[in-house]
Amino acid sequence: MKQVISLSYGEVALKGGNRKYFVDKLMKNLKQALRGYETDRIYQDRTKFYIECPSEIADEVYEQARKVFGFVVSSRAVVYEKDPEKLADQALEYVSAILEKDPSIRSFKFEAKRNDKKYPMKSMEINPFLGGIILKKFEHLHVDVHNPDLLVRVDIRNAIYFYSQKEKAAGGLPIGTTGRSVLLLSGGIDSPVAGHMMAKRGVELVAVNFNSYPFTSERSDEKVLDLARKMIPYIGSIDVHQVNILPIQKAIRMNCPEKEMTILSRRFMMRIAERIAKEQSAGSLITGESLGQVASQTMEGLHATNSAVSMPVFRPLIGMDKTEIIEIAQRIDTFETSILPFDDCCMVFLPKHPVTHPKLGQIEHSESVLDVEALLDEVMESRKIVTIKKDR
Amino acid sequence: MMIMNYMDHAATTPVRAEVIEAMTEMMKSQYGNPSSLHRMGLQAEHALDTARDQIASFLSCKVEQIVFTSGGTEGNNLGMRGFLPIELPENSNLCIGSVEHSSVFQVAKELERRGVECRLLPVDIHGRIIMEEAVKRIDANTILVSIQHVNNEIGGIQPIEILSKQIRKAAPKAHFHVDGVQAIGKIPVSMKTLDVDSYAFSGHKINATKGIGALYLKDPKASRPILWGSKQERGLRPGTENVPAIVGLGVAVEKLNQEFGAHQAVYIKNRNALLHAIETELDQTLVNTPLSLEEAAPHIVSVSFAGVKSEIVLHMLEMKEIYVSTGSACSSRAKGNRILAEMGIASKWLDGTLRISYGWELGPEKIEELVAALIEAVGEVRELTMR
Repeated sequence: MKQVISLSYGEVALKGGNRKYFVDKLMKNLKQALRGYETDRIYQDRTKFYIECPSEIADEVYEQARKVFGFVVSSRAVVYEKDPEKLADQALEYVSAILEKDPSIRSFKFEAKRNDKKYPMKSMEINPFLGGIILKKFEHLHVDVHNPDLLVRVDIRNAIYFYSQKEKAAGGLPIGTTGRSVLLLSGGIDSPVAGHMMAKRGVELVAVNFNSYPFTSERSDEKVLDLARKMIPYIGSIDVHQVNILPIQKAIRMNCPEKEMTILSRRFMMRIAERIAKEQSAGSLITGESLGQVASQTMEGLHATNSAVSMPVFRPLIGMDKTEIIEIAQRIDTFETSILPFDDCCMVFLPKHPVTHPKLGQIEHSESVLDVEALLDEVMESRKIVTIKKDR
Repeated sequence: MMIMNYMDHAATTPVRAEVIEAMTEMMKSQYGNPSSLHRMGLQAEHALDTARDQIASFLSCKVEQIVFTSGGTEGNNLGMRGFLPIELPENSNLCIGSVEHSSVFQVAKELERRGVECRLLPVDIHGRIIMEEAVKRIDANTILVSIQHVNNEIGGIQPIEILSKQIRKAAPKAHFHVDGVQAIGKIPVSMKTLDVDSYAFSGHKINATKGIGALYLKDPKASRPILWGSKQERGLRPGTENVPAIVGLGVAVEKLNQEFGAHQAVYIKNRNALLHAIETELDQTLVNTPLSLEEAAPHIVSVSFAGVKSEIVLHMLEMKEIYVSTGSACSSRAKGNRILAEMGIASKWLDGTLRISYGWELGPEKIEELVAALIEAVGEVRELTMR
C-alpha cells in the first residue's frame, strides 16, 4: 500500500483562462513549502495534487502542505495502479488495514467517483461491486448508505485512490497571484492576523516594523522577527524592513501638541510603508486596525492616518471584535508570541490624553511645522532588511 | 571602535585569564573522570582536591564541608532543601528576607505549597532586615531561615551574625542558609565568624565560568541530596564532576584570596567617584545603596532618576558600549521591581532605577566615561519626557 497526501484546490479551478497560471503558482508554492522535507514525488493527477513521502515524515508534511493557501480540502489516501482486474483486491487490502486499526467498525459504504470517464465501470456499478466483495469477506459488517462507520471513497484518475477522511485545508488563493502588499507589523496580536488574512487572499507580503531604539529595546525587534517566523508555515517567506522612527517621534514631541503624538506618528508610519511599497512594487498597505479598538482607531483617527497616503489601505480586521481576532491568532499560532511583554514604539511618548476625534485640518496644521520629506529620508537611511524564511 | 565599558558585574563577570588557562589545560590534557580507576582518573581527582582546598582555605572551613554545585540557584536549593525532613512537621514555618533572589524566594514558595508557612522578614529603606520585626517572626516552629548576605540589587549587607544569634536562641532547630552569591570577593566572608548552616556561592560572579558554584555545609552528614545518582560529592551532588569548571573556580578563589585587598581599594575608589559624581553632577536622583561601607558591599551602586525610564538610559549607554542594568538580570525582565518596592522606595523612582556594578579591573577613567554618558542620556530623556 502506497500512502499519499492528497490536496484539492477550490476557487483556483474557477479562474477560467488564468487557470494554468494559478495552478502553476500553487505547485510552486507547495514545492517551496515542502523544501527541506525529503519527499519522493509531488505531482498532479488531473485536478488534484498528490505528495508521496516516507511514512516517518508523512504527518509533518501533511500538516505543512494543508497550510498552503489555495488548497481547500486535504486527505490521506492510498494509491493503486489502475487495473480493473485488481480493483477488488485493492479494496480488500485497503478496508482490511482500516479494520485492523479500528475493530469497532460495523457499517460501511463505498462512494466511487470516476474522473477518468474511459474507465470500464461506472461509479454506480463500482459501489455495489466492491460492497459485495467486502460483505462476503467480513461477515460482521453491513452496508449503511446514510450513516456508515466507514466511508470509503474511490477516486479513479490516472491511478486509483482510496481514502476515507477529508479535512478542510487553508483555503484562499495561491500567494503571489493577487499582488504584493506592505504589512505594518507590530509586536501585537492584530497585525500578524491581518497579514495572514490578506496572504490567504493570495497577497505576497512585505513587512515593515517600527522601533524607537534606544527608547525601545533590541529585544522588541527580536520579538517581531519571531512573530514573522510564526507566520512562515503559511506565507513561506517575508522580508521585514526595520525602521527606527525615533527622529520623527522626537521632532513631533518637540514641535507638536502632545495629544496628537500618536496620530502624527502613525501618519509617518503610513508614509514610510508607502515609500517601501513603491520601492518594492507593492500596490497596497495592510494594517491590523479594528474600528474603535484604541484612540487612534476611531473613524476620524483612521481618516487622519489614511489621508497621509494615496495607496489603498487594507484593514481586514476592521469589523472584528478582539475576541475574534484572538481566536484566529491562536489558530495560526502567533498569539503566544504576541502577548510576550516587550514595549513597542507606540508606547514610547504615549500621550496621557490622546485626541480621539482628530480633525484632519488641525492635524495637517500641526504637522506643517515639520519637514516631512527630510524626516522620512533620515529614517529610511538607517533602515535594515531582515529576510525571514523557513529554517530547514 | 569604542572600547567596551562593562558595568554589570553583579549580573556576571568576565572570566579571568588564569582561569581560562587552567581550564583549557584540564580540557586538553587532564580530561579524565575522577571516578575512573586509572591514573587519568586519579589526576582529575587530585585536581578536585586542590580546588576544594583553595575554597576551604578562602572560607576558613574544612574541605569536607564544601560541595560543588552548578551555581547559585542549585546551591540555594540544596542548602535550603537538603536538610528538610521527608515529612515536613505540622505547624512549621520558614522565614526568608523579603528582598531575596528568585532562587531563594521560589524555593520558599514551593515549600509553602507543601504546607510550610512562609514568613517574609521585612526590610528598611536600605534593604536591611529590620531586627525587631525579624524577632517577632522567627520562633520555635521555624525550621528554615534563608537570608542573602549581600543584596543583588543595591548591595546592602545583611547582619548575618546578629541574625544567627537570634535564630539559635529563638529557633534552635532551624536550619540557617545564607545566599552568598553577591558577597564572595566583595566583603570578608569567613565560616569561622559567621555561624551559619549552609552558604552558597557561584563561580561566574567572581571571574570563573557559568555553571559552577560551591556550597558550604556545616554538617554535610545531616544533608540529603536533591538529585539522585552516583556517589560523587559524597552522594550530595551526584553526576560526573565538572572538573574544568571546578578547577577554574579554585583558581578564581585562590586569586581572590591573594588580591582581596587590592580589589577592595579599586571598588571603593570607583564607588566614591561614582557617588560623588551622582551627588554633584546629576539632579533629581536617589541613591538606593546604603552610603556607609559597613552596610553595603562596595561593588554595586543603585541609583534612581526621577522622570526617566531607566531602560531607555540603559539602551542609550549601550550605544556607547557601556553596559549597566535596570535591576538584577534575573528580575529585570519581570514586571516591576519587586525588590525595590519591598524596600519602600516610592513608585516615582522605581521605573528610573539603574544598577551599576563595576569590576576590580576597571580604572577610574571608566567611571568618568560612565558619568559623562549618564549626564547626557538622562538629560536627553528628561528633555523629551518631562516637558
